[in-house]
Amino acid sequence: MSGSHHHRRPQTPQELRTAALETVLIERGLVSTDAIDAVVDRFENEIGPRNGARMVARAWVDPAYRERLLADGAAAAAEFGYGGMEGEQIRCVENTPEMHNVVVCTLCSCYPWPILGIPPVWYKSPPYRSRVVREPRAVLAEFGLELPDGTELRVWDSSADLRYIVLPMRPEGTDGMSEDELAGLVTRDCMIGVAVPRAGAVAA
Amino acid sequence: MDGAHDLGGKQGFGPIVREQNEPPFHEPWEGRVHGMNLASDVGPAFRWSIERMGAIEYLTTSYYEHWLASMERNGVESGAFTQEELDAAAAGVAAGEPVPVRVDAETVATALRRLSPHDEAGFEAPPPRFSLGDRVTVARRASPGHSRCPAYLRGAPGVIESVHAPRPILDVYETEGGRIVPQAWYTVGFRSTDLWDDPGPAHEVFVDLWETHLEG
Repeated sequence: MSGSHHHRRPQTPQELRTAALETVLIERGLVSTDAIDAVVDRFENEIGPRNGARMVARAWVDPAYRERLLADGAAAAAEFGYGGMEGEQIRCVENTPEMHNVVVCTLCSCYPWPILGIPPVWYKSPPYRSRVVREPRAVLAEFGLELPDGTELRVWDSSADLRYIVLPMRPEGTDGMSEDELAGLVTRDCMIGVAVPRAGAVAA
Repeated sequence: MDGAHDLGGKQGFGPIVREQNEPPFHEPWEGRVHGMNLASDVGPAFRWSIERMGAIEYLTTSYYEHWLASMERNGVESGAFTQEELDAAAAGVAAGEPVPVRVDAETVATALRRLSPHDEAGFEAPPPRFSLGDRVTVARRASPGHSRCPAYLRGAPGVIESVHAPRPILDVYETEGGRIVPQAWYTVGFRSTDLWDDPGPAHEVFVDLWETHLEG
């Protein structure tokens, strides 16, 4: 819980504005202190890319789940109890040996919160948002991902109510791994599409 | 609106700067802003308020500063609170007054419901004008309000990849005080070679667009 703000005097302009806004919302009865605390707690402790990683690992070991995930990402997320704001509608796009997918929101920073959490700053920043629709291969190379020649590339610009997640390919050499171990290979970046899972790598 | 937020295809922003082991919130105030936004409703113009920050301010402030600016503006415009209240609270905070505490289980429950799976309302709208595989052209004319049609697509030819059940077009919702106009929307595929004259291998770009954004 980030309750420390109640005890420390705001210092920066951002802290002062935040405290002023919170004061007005509380005085107006538009929000409560414990509701803000609860939301912060959820995003700091429960909602994050481990959720999406569990879905990906399930899809790798359970072909019926993979079908359901590709048919309706939000319903497949709800099977794990994940859902809600910025994840009411989710489309899962699948990488294949012939096709790689990468996700962006050029107008804002739309992102499937319930399964990936808060987007990283780079995802929200002008360099990524401006470049990945136009020069995705150069952007992926910057992330250390060189696609084989001839791989088709699809960029998904989430401009409306649909949020996107990439289903990466299961890496070679993972045959004996459990679903939990597989989930450990799936990083946030793999589900945005700027990385691919590697056997032996461990998700941050 | 042709604001600085409409970044797709723009050049000159340099390399992507990444941070290892990034926390959800870098400072406690960011979490407070996130929590306040999700646990309250200060008006329908969240993104439209960000887009009117001004180009220089937008590009030189952080994500949660955008949210803060949006909530301040959106709340005043919608009548959720007044600028005078905000100014008075800011003066009080600067003078050392603590943020008041309000505990309310119902507000907590409402906020947490928003963060859990829930059924979405369905919307009635005229039947979709376009079908799977139709060739379409993105409208060339730009709207002065909030728009979910990125500028880099204007006038571009595309192909309907998916047809979605009607949803309120957010251009109208945000610009016109929350007015609900359900409309068919589509995932539309574009060839990069129809968008830019860049060298190198081509790719495809898929964008979700409402019917307003498309011409037959």
